Amino acid sequence: MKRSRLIIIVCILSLALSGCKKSRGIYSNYREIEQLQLIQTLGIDGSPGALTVSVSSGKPLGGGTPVIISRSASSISSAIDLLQDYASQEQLYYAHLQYIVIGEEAAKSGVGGVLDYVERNMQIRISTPIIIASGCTAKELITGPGDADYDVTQALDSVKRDTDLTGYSHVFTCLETARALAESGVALAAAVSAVDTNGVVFMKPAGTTAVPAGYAVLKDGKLVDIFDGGAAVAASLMTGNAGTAGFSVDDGEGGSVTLELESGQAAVRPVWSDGGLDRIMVEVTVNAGIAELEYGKAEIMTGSVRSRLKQALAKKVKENIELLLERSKACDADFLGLGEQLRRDDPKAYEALPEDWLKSARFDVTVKAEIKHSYELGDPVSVDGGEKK
Amino acid sequence: MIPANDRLTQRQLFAMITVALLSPIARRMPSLLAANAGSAAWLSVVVSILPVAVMAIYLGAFLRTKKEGYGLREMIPAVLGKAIGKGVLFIISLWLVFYAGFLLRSGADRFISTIYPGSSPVPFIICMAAICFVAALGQLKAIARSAMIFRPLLLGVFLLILLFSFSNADLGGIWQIRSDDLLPVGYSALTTVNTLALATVFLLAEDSATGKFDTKSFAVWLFALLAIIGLLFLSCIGLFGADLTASITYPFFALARETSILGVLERTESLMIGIWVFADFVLISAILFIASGTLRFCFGIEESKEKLKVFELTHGKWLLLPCLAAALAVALFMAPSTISLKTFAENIVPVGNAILNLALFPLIFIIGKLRKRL
Repeated sequence: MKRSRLIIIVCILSLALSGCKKSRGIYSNYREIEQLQLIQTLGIDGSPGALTVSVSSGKPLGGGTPVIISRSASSISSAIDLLQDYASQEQLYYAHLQYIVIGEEAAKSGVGGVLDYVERNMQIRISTPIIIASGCTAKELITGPGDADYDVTQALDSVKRDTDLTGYSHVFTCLETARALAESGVALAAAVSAVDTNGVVFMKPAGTTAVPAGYAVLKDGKLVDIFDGGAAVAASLMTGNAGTAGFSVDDGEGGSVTLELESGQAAVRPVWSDGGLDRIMVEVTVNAGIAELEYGKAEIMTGSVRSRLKQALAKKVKENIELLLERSKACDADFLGLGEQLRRDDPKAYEALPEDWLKSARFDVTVKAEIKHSYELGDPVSVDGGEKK
Repeated sequence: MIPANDRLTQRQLFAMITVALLSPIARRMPSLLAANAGSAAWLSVVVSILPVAVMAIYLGAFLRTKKEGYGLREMIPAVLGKAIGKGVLFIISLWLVFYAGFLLRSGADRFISTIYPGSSPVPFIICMAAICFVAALGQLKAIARSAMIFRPLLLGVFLLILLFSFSNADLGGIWQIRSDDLLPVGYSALTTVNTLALATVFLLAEDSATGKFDTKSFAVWLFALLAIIGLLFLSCIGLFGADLTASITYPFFALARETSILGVLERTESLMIGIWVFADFVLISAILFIASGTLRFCFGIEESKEKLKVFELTHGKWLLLPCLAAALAVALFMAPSTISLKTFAENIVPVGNAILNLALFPLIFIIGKLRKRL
C-alpha cells in the first residue's frame, strides 16, 4: 500500500478521536490543576433519598480560608453536583480526601450506601478513613471546628494521632469497614464528637472541636451502639490497637498510682463441650509502666507493692474487657471477631452453633499484668526531709 | 514457514509469552479466583502446579515431535486431512480475530472503568488497533523484541506494587481449607491453567523459535507466572478480602490505587493502566499476526520468498486488513457496557480459549502422534 493511502486511512480514523460528540469524551476528565479545590473532609447526613453532604477543604496551601459548604439532595452524587454550583471558581476535587464523616442518624440508617459510593467512585480511595459522628451530625462536626487558620481536617488529624497513641479509639478506613461488614456483617468505626470549647480553650474565640468518643458498632451496615471509656480501651486492646491508656489504681497505702499501658495482647480460646460451645476463654496480657504517683508513700520497687499494683491493674483491665463483652452480647454484634476465632478452631462445631450464639456465650476472662518500667524514678521522691527531720 | 533468520530465539519467545500473559492475569485473575473459591482460591495456584508442569511437558513433547518448519498451518492439515484441516484453521483464525476484538474492547474498558469515567471506548479501541496493526504488519520477531523491552518494566512495576501492598495484607484465616472448598478450588485451578495455556497459541501457531525447545526453561517461566498469580491473589485478598475482590472490576488496578510507596508515591493507578497497554499491545499484535498468517494459508496464498516492506500489502499480507476490520467490529459492537463485557470475559472467552488450547491442540498432538503425521 502506498504511504499516501495509509496517511489518508489514518486521517479518517483520527476523526473518531476528535471528541466532537454528545457523550462525555476522554477530554471530560482533564482538569487544570490551578482550578482544583482539594476537598479533605466529606460528611454525610440524613437517610437514603434525603441526604446532606458537607465538605471542607482544609487550609489552602497558598493561604486563605478553608472552603466549607453543605447541600442537600436525594443522593450523594446529586449533592456533590450541587456543592459544585456553590464553588464556581474552582472545581471540587475528591481524589485526596482525608476523612469521610457519617452523622449518627445517617449511620443508624445504614452506611452501606456510603461505602458503595466510595468503592464505586474513581476519585475517592477506598482506604480513606471513615468516622462516625457521635451525638451530632456530620454537618455540625464539619462546619463547627476551625477558624480562618484550620478546619475539621486538622482537628480529625489530631484525633487520629491521639487515638493511635492512647488507644481510646482507632480510626479505621472505609476498606477495613467494608471488608469487615462483607465478611462478618459487623464492624467497628471510630466515633468522634463535636464539643464546645468554651471554658476549655482560651487562646481563640470559643467554638467547637472534634474529640474522640470511642467506638461505633456497625451491624448489618447500621449503627447499633457507641461506647467509650474503659470499654473502648478494652476494644483497642482486643483488636490489636492497644495504646498508652492510663489506669489509676490504689497503691494500698492511701495513695494512688497511675499505670500507663505499654503493650498488650489478647488471645481467644474456645472451650467446646458435647452440647456445643461451653465457654470462651479470653486471655489477656498487658505490660505497663508507672507514670505517676499521687500522694504516694508506697515503696513501689518492693515486690509486694508491685505485685499488688499488678493485681489491681489486671482487675481493672478485666472489668473493662467484661464490660466490653457485655456490650457485644447486648447488641448481638461480634465486633471483636470472636466467631471467626471459633470457626478457625473448629469449623464444624462453629457451623452447628445457633445464629445468636453470642447472646448466650459465657466468657472466662483472665488478665496477666506486668509492670515493666518506672521510668526515670524508682520509689517516690521524699518530701518529708527524711528520718533526721 | 518463517525464514530461519526471522525466527525468534527462545528467550524472545518466552518474553513475548510472559508479557502477553500479564494482560489477562492483571485484568481478571484475582476477581475470577475470588468469585470461584473465595479466600481458599490461593490453594488453586498450588493445585495448578501439577497440571502446569504437565502442560509444559506436553508442549515440549509437541514441539520436539513436530517436523522442522511445521507450525499449526502445516500440522493441522497433515493430521486431520487437507479439507478438514483448512476448515479447522479457518475457525481458529476466526476465534483469534474475535479474541483480538475482545482484547481491544476490554483494554478500552480498563481505561473507562478506572480513570476515564463515562468516556466512549471508541478512541481507545481505535488507537490500540492502529498501533497493533502497524506492529502486525511487520514480523513476529519485532513484536517479541518489543516484549523483551517491556518485560522487565512490567514485571518490575508489577512486583513493586505487589511488594508494597503485600506488606499491608491481612491474610489471617485464609489458610484454613474446608472440604467444601475443594470443588471450587479445582475449578479455580482450571481457570488458572486455562489462562496460562494461552501460551500454546504462541508456541504452536508459528514455527517461530530456533533451536531445540527448552522445556525446563519454559516450565520455569510458567511457574514464575503462577507465582505472580498467587502473589497477586494474596495481595488482593489480603487488602480487600474475598468478597470485595470478587466484586471489584479490576482488582489489580484498585490495588495500585490504594498502595502507597513509602508514603511518598501514591495514586499510581493511572500509570499502571497506561503501562499495561504494552502487555495488550504484544498480545493483540501477535494474535492478529498469527490470525492473518493462518487465514493466508487457508486461502492458499503463497508467502513471499522475499522480505516485504512493512506497508507492502502483497502476498496475502492484505488479509491483515479484514482481520483488523473484523476485530474492530467485534470490539465496537460486542459489548455496549462493562456489564455485558463481563459476560464475554467470564463465560465466552475462557470457554473458547479452553476449547482451543486445552482440547483442540492436545487432540491434534495425540492424533498426530498416533498417525505419525506431525
